[in-house]
Amino acid sequence: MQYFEQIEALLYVHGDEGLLLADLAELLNLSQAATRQQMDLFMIAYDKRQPSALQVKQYGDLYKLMTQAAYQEIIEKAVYRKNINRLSPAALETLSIIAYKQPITRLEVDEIRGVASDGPINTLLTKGLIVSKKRSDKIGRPRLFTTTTEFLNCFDLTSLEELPQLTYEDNLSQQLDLFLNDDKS
Amino acid sequence: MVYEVKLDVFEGPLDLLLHLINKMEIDIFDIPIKILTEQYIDYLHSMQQLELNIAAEYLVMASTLLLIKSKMILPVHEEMMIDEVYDDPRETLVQQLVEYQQFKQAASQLSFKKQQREQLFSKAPTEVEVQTHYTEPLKMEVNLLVQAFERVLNKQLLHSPSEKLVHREEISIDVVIQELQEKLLVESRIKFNELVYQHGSRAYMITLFLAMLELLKQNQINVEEHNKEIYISK
Repeated sequence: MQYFEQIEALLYVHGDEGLLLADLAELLNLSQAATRQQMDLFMIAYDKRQPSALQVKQYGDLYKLMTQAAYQEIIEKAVYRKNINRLSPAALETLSIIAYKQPITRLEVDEIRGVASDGPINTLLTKGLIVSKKRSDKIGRPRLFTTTTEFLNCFDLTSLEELPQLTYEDNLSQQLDLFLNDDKS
Repeated sequence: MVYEVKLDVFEGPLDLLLHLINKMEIDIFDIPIKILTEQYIDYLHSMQQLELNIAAEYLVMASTLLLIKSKMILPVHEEMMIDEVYDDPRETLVQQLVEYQQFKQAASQLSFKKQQREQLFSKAPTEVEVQTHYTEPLKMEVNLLVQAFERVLNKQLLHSPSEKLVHREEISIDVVIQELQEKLLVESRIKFNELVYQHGSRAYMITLFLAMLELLKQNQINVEEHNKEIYISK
């Protein structure tokens, strides 16, 4: 594989920050599509290098070199872990709604939760887990929220497609349909 | 100031309702609205007894429940059954509850994914340091300067009287800087020790040292060490 060592070196140097596909394309002087191909090959090849304490994770367009889960214990004995950002239940709920329903406005989130979500939304914005890039066409042109690459990173998701299935999604909606259509004649 | 307190660990009225529904093992698709409303309002009352302010959303939900309850009591006209679609007054609430429950579930699954992610570590990115630009090379290394200073400090201790009257002497660095600069106009080289013995106090010695560092930083003087003596020059 042509660029293997170069990619490995770059991933190492970027560490926590991760390597963006676009940046890698520039560094290797390739198109983004070609770069993506190379990265796919790289990840397969890297996985085959076992046993290894390292792995390459992909979060959207960002690639990071990380340790494998099996080594958590020994690492935590050696390394002082920085303050882990804990998300409050309110923030988690809000984030879930945005993740599954994006793009979505604050008001729509409020309606689902039944409470005001200003606080949690601000927290999520501050932590870089959501952004507002567009506005809705509705009255007042409210901001639309979407999740970020940092969100993918935080929750170990390669892409939004990996979001866990909403439980009883099919089952519940079926039941709901039955319920709503009952007694109607 | 009004303090809003969360009831127990509930995230809002929907959360509370779900809790009551689960506790009483109610079928969410056939809610006995009378009982649920009673339980809900009982809960709010107990909060009031504890003299806790109830957030507005809870009160809105209470009135919504009462509205639904009263609608359920109303007799249904025959005409409605034939022509129009009969709306179950609980419909909107049930939809809300079901959707909210889904997201509560999703939130807990995401939380688990977060924990999994926290098992992985990566190192901080490598920084390449930018070299600062010196206009003139220092003729002396700072640690040597500090060592020399320590020697002088120790010598001073030997000279100081056994009984001391402790008094605070105010010596400003600016004054010392000025003195030093004036002296350098006259003499090309000054011995650090000489200056200190002239003045006598430790406070002066320390201030002089700080003045030297400041002037060094501004590239206004040169400092050298020779035979364990510190020499200051322009």
